[in-house]
Amino acid sequence: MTSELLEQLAQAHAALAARVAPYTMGVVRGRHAFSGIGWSADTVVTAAEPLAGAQQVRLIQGERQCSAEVLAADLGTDVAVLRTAEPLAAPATRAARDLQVAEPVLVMGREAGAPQAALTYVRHVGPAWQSRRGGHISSALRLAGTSHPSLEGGGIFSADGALAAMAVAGPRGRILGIPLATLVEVADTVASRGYLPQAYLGVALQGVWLDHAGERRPSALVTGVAADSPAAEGDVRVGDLLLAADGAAIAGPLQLLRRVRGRPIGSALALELLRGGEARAIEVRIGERPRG
Amino acid sequence: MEVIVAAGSAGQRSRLQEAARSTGAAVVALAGDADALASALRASPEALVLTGGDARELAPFWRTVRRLQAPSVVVSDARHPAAPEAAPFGWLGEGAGPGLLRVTLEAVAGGLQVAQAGGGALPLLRPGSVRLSPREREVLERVAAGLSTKAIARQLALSPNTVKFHLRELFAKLGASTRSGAVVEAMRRGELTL
Repeated sequence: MTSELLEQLAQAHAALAARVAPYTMGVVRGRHAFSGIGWSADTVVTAAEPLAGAQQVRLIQGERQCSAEVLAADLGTDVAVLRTAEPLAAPATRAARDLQVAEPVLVMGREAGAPQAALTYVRHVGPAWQSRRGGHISSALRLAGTSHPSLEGGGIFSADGALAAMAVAGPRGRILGIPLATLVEVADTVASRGYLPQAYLGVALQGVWLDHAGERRPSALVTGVAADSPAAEGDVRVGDLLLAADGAAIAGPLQLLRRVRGRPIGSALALELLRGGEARAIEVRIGERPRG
Repeated sequence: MEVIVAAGSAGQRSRLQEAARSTGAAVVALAGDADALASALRASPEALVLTGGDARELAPFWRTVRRLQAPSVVVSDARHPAAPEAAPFGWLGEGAGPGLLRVTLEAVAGGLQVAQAGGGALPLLRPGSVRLSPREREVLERVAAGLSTKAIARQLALSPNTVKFHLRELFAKLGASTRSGAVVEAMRRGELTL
């Protein structure tokens, strides 16, 4: 490559960073600093994990600072939505297409107020997956190279300067991307409802060991059914032993929780259970947890 | 089978890595602290966690494994926990050979809880779990629905500081340090409907 070409490339990178930097801001929670992305005039999207349950954070862009309220932090998808007191960042231009393997991308965030960037490329694109905490993520996206904690919550931009995903931390500093479709899903729900509805069945469960069909296995015993809940409407009863949900074995309350959280509200969940020693299959419709 | 090796010291990590490899498992990540383990689990959600050491070395990794409900195998002469866990786990003494480790990894991957004979039984229920007060339950229900402290205070006609007081009590009773941790633990104990 000639030195002119290298110089043009360097200038193109710097120009791309300068173009997308206004979409990003630093997010500060106590001594922890990470990044956020301008989403609308008064909202910012960031990573849920580093918020660690905080309800207020500070946003920094250059010399400007303001406070922001955490509207919703979804640990399932790792997407959080903040409401800013002042519009610090411009809403990012959203990508019209999905990222492809080997495509170059710019990860852009802020270390406190100052822009910081990592130039890398897409290492892997895979199908939709369910996170360990039960969130449904529209596609698996992994970037090459490693990152810095302060880039968590920053934007992943394609070469045309459009926002394609949000960067979150993977193992040993690797960069995972939460795709735009998932960001839109969470942010749109929060925008229209003002909060993130929580999936709900209305069953209280206790983990138990069960001797069934000649084997000893863990199961979940229904110890309570809330009145007027989806579980009550689906005829789940106290004393039922849950064996499986959607065909996957349920070994305890948290496995059912993960199943339920990974499914959209309004969808049907097929439960297999034991009632009075008899196996039964019933269907419950996942509802929304009442808010008081 | 994919395995994440988690241990505080480099020596322990390489011992466990060697042990995992001798069973034919693929070690996908090495974690030196709880944060590294959490992110390794996010990247490889289907992997088993292999950890070990004395009770103190083990504590941060065991907490992370429990919090994230990850299947795990522990190689340790420390006493294994006296409560059933929702996620499968295996507990082996430090003298366990590769054959025992291999069947334990497979059993845990298959959803079983495994403990070496003579290591004590796994009692069914956590003894002496602390009951929540009705007010704490009201607060917890709203935390689970995603309400902020301010919104909970408004709904229950309490001051935000009173809500914060109840939250601290809830965290202490449930052994949690965050709202989502308290909600998950309460659901696990059957104190909160899911």
